[in-house]
Amino acid sequence: MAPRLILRGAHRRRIRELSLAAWPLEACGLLEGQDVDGPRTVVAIHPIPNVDPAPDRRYTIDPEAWLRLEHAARRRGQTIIGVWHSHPHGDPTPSSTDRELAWPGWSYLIAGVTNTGMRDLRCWRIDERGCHEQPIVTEIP
Amino acid sequence: MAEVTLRIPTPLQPYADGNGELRAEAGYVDELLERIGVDHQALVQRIRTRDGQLRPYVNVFVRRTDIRQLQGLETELHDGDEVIVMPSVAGG
Repeated sequence: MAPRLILRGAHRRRIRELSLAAWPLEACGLLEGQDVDGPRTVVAIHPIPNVDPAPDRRYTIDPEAWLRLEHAARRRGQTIIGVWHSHPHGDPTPSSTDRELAWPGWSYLIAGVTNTGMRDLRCWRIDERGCHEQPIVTEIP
Repeated sequence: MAEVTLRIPTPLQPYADGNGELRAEAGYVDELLERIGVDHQALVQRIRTRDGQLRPYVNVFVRRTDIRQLQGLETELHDGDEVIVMPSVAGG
């Protein structure tokens, strides 16, 4: 099992809000934090436009928005440690497309949502050996 | 010949021995990738295809402009330029 991901309650609520607002399309964004070997702490959740031509079943992060965010995070002494996105069919496990296009070393936070709410939020590290779940520790607030 | 910095975002850093940036002297983007590829072949393989074209899911920015809007791999570099490689981040 991969090291834990530490998330504030406010981050979890923000992902739920953004995912429900985008439903039935996929919402996506980036995770800002410190790139460390052990447990990773998310310091900010950034929504990024989903520029994929089929946003009902895929997401693509707008590269120019990512570029701006990389610069801003570096100025704050942070980095981009992963991606979050929603699965509008409710299952928060990586799809075959997620597995195919994943970058090893990044954290992939997936919100399983339906029209009635967020069913679950789970996090994964994905590499050539497979998907390894990162337990999420939610801190208050 | 210009002295430039290639900035590498976290997903590509494992292919650059963990470096977040590399410096080199080059006149054009193509030449920069040639020089970087001497020591970091795995990195350049993720930016260019075998026949030397820019991979479709990779964006390269020079002076914050996508080189596809400039002269592509033949975009000229100036002293102090920052060249940034941004791979596609996507899934389903």
